[in-house]
Amino acid sequence: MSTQIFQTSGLSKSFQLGAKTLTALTDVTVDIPQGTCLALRGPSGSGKTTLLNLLGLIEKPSAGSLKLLGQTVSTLGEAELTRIRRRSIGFIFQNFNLMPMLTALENVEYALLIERAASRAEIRKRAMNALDRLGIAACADQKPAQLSGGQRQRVAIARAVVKQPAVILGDEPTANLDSVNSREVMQVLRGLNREFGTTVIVATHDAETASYLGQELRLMDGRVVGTFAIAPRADDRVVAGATAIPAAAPIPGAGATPPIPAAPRARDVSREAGL
Amino acid sequence: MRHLTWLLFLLRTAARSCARSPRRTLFGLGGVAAATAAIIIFQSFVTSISATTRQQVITAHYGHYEIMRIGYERNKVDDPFAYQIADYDRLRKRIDETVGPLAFASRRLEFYGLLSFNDRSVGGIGLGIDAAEEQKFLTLARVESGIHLAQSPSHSTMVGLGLAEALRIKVGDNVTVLATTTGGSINAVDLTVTGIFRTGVPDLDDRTYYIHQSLAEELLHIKGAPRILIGFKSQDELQYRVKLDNLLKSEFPGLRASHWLERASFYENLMGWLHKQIFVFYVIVLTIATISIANVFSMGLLERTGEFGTLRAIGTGRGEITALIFAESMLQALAGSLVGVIIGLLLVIGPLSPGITMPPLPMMNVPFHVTFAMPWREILPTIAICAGVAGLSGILPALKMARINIVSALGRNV
Repeated sequence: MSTQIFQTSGLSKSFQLGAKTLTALTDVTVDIPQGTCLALRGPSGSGKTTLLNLLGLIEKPSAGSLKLLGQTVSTLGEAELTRIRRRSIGFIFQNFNLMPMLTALENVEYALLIERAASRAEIRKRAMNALDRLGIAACADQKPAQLSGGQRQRVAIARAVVKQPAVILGDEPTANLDSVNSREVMQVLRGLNREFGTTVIVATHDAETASYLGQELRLMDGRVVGTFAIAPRADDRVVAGATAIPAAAPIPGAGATPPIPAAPRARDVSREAGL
Repeated sequence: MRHLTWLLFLLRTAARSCARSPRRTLFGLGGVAAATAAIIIFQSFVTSISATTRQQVITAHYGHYEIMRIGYERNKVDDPFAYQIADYDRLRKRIDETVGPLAFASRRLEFYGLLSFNDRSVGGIGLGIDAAEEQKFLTLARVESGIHLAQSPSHSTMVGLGLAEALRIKVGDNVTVLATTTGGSINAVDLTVTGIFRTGVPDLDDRTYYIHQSLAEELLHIKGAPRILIGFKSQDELQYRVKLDNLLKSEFPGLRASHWLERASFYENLMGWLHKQIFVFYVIVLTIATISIANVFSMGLLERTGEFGTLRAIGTGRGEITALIFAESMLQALAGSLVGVIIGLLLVIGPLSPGITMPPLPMMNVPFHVTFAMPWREILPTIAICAGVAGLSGILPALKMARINIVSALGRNV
């Protein structure tokens, strides 16, 4: 059983724009251990969102292979990918992407409803628990339009975590939030990682956001330019008192990128093994 | 149970999505409602024409059933008088007692006779009838001038309008009828024209004249008649079909009953013609409605591309996206068709209740008045067809949306 949540090998993605081919990601070879809290960092156009989309199985690579929990997923069909996304991957978006016609509670319930694996009562209970854990149980009956940005993002996080996914992927999750809400959202994600060992991968161009995560995969012009350990922040409530980890030197991108160090507490992978 | 939970969620979400953009929903719903209302009104019109025409055909000439001896129809030209029904009184009594209450029963003794007035003679179909009985039921044979044969003395005739015009006769004129007796000799009788009738069926009005049954028997030197027309008090004559056949088979072997539809083939042709019109009307109205609904619906979905991209990203399958969108279109279509039925029925019982006068039907020459009938039987099928067709208009946009590229869809905000 693999302890790597993702293993990529020569992962590339290019887009056809008329006669021109635009390469968004080139030859990414990286292993990401389970339980990692990882930032994908780089300037605009560096390929971080493309990599995130590939890891999230909403985009297919043009070349290379991608394994999720040891299973090659880059060659799977759409129905199978949908099933894996439904069960094993939680998404958090920059614009929250909540269903406007559903209440906060229903938005969270939706993630369980599509699985059709639990009873109505169980779904409600689990969704309420997720909202409660994120401190927004009081907003359960409110529609997204009635919530603040921070509350919306918490609902989105609740939707992502309620199904207990193997990995949570966030694409600029704090880009539309003020600094207070950004900090809270990142602390929530960090807390989920610490408490449950959930792998968290966030694409961001913001150093402040990245600073809440333990590792950083830096991208430039569609290539991985190195991995870095990130020193814990002084306001990291979960890991308060931990000693700072010195940032690792960038690894030259000649061939495979060295593996990202395993997280101190890898979660039980028995559930994810079946995807 | 879990699938039911999903289904309920699906419907609730669809309903809320419809409520999100009321103007767009109203536009789509209005399209279905307008189409449904139009169909309901047209159905009401056709139902009414159908019922009116049916009643006209029955009360003009045919009654509900005609009873005759087996073989009469085949041989009536060669040997018309060999098939007389002997036991008319008992037959009538037994039908009334065992089959259903009769509104009328009339013998029909048909003969070909030359009708002469002054220096003009026209061949026509003479009919010996039980006039008082026929007056009770065959009400469409409207007396244009004079009085009904039922109120006339024995040597009287009631002549069809077209025939009267051909002979240039009027009420009070004396005419002579020449006919061949059953023995082959020529017999004649002088009659006074006491009435001129019009059924609106040119075939009858141009050729037919009625005389009393007893006089016809006298003229032709024969007793009885080969045909007996009957009409039941209930307008639902089909309920008596089996009983009538059984009675004839058991107590009057050799006789058979012929339903009026067997003799009025033009009625079936007319109905076929009307139903083809309904079909064409359905196709036109529903096509227009479907195209407009699909357009409005597609535009609405396009604005929600980001929403569907998100749903796909978080693990909603293509089939589920299709189901979500289809549920929305079905809800709109169902609500629209229900509203349309209500509007249509309100128009039928309101502004359209006076009805309209229609030009003559094919095979007839009298305009007739149609009041819009409540098309009760058509309501459910109309709802089903309108909601179904309009709902299906959501399928293509739904399938298209289910196949969107997730990443590019996510690029559009929810």
